[in-house]
Amino acid sequence: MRFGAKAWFWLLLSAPFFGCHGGPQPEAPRPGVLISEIGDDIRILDPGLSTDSVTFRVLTNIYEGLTRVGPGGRIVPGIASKIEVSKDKRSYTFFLRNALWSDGVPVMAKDFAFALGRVMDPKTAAQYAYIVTDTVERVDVLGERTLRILLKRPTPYFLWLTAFPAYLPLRQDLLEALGQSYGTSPERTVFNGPFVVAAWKKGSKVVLEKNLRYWDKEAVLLKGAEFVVVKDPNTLVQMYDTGALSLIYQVPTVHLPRYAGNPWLKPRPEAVTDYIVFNLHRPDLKAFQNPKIRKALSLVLDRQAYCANVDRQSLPAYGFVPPTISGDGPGRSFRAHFGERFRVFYDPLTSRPYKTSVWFEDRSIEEAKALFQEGLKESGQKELTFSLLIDDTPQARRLGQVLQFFWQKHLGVKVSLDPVTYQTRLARVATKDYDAANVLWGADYDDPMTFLDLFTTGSPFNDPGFSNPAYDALIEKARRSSDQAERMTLFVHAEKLLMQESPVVPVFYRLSYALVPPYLKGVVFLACGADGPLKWASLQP
Amino acid sequence: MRPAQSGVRLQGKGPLWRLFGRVIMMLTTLWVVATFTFLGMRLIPGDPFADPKVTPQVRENLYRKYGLDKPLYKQYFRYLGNLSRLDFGVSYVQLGRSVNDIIAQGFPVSAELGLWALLLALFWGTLLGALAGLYHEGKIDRSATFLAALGVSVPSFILALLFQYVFAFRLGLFPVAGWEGGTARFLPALTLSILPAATIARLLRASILDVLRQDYIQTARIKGLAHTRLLVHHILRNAALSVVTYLGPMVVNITTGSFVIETIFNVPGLGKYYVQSIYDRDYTLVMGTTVFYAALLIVAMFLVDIAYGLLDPRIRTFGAKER
Repeated sequence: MRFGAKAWFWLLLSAPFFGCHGGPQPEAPRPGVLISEIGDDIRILDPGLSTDSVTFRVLTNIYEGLTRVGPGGRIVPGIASKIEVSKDKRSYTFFLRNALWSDGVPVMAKDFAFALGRVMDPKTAAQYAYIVTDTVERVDVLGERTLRILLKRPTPYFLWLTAFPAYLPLRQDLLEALGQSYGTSPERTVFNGPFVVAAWKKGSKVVLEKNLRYWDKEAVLLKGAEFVVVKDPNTLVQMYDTGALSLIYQVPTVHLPRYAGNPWLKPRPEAVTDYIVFNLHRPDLKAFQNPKIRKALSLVLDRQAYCANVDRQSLPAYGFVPPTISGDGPGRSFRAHFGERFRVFYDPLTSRPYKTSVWFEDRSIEEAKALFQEGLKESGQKELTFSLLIDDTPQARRLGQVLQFFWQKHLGVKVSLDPVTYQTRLARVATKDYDAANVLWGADYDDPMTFLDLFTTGSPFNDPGFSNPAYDALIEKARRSSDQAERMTLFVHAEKLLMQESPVVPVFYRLSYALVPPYLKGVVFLACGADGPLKWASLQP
Repeated sequence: MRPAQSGVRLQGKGPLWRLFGRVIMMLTTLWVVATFTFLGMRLIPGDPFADPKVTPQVRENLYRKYGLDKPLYKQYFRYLGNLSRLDFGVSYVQLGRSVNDIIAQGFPVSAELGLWALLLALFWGTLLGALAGLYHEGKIDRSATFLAALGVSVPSFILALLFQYVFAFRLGLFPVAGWEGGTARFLPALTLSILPAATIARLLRASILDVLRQDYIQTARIKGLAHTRLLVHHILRNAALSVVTYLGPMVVNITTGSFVIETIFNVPGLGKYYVQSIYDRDYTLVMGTTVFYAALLIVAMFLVDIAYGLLDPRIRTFGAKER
């Protein structure tokens, strides 16, 4: 056979093709430009319609509200240079500074009034409409640069809300000219924040440049920033390791062990509670209507072992409000300052301490067993068997197995796991088609109310269907109060009651880790709201 | 695999009639695909606005905004009406963007990646397959068959990680991921080409062995035909038939993007959306990408039929003289 020569023919034929892969090299990182990641593409540059954290991360850098949330979760000045609050704390008057949009038009009071009115209009169908409509009664433009917002009730965290994306200003002239296409590309958007979007390569990256018309441009040290869309966890860490990224906001779970002990690893406790919810309205599951049984199911869990040895990215939860939520002032954790008993827990990878109030001790096996037997007797049951609805993710399955183990071992409860997709889980919890479910809740705003008002009677997010007049009264009273000390006392009572009744059983507070190199300074990490403002960030080689 | 011969009943009525029949058939297939996708998406639980934070009031507003509050049959006819005007509607997740725009932006990227991968696959597949077939049962055959078996069986996400680790992380020859500059295209194209290359190699090897046993090859050899001519005109041309059959669906498959490869290599193509939109229940995007994919597939099958005829006049369907 002499066909071998033909191989060379084919090989030569292909030679030009291999040459094609030359092309331009990717640009080297420009000095003063921070390259970081987003786990998914942003959805739109319109703050009124955005809901996801990735879009928020970009929005907080390109828009500026009346206020801004700064380092440590403190409120810092935004477009409003002076704020007057009425005696009853229901009326806020904002005096706007001389600020410009990126096209040179001045930022006016009417831009805020228009944006708020648009979010509140049902026709806009803004998913975050309630964060405005629940709080704001009326918005009045008192002058070109004077705005008054009348609230439905005193809201101590209102100046936190005015930094939230749904409260950011928009230009009526552009919205009317561009219609639905506003915010779908940088050419169809105006900016008033520290940066402008220079390019949005859909599915690839968002490129920001310093906004030279920003009112506080002297404070902005970065020349620009890039958010690269990286969905795959392996790709993310390999890009970081090869220097293609200089900041990871959230290290993927599977790669955390690889960075354990890395001095650049920074724990970022989130404002998210992971908990078990019991369906209180199942006629075939009378046992769940008994608080003793629910309490017993909570007491047999060994949360510390789970957080430290199994999950390794969470803090054990002995109350419903996560430690990141402020109490009577920004930066003063509700969990660390209000309660009856306090404990200190450490995050599993960097051992940073967290002081938190606790409402019970778990691993109280004997107490739990006794409670469980009493509960069974009261509800006329011999044993308890139920299914636990969980997400079909590795983390949720792992948690499910751990819960299954503790409940079976200590109480003899037979639990079957029912892993479903995220969409199915949401749908089934919403229609109360479950026995018990593992769900989580993230804060909308920085106040214990965002967690505790979930379980008032008739709340749309009351998954267990819990209804307790005493609880409702405490929350309603806190809602009307403008006195922070009184509110905190009410919240403490409400949480205590909630933990006694245990319609929900908190398991852990979510924790994530960022990788922040030492030459990157001033990135602000926030547990809730629009995270990751780069206004104060700088790269010092 | 033989291509569908849909013009069968119209045979003898002339090529134009057969073409007409085929077009009707293609449109019917598309309609069936569109209908099944529409019903399928509505049957699975969840909706595009599933978010633990959506209140019933907000959901109602959203349903009204997108016309999802109307009865299902009305939505279906509106969808078919828009489809006939090639309008796929607006995405529920990528706010303000039309599905047509998403396809117009993502498909060229996926197609480019697919074409690079196709060239690589054709090159490696043909080379390996031809060598294996021609040097049957030798060392070359065994190593080529082994490589092909490896290529078919190792999943692409493993290959992707391996290539990323070796070529990007260890050797630093190519960027880990991204779609900027020529070098960034190499790793995803290489990963994407492995499976089709291996398949082409196996198909080609099998058909070369088949062809080599044919009498006419013996005849040609005895006649003293030049080896190059024998190889190209008699062996490869006849053996290529099986590869061409495979090529039609494969080209569509490879150019509409791969979810895994586009996700791992951050390629802003259509493949990512194709799967993600189902998780998101982004109804319009799911239906748009599915119908688009189906249309491409149907057209590709049609072209394969024509290519078939060019390679083998016995199965010519269109444009041939009546016999």
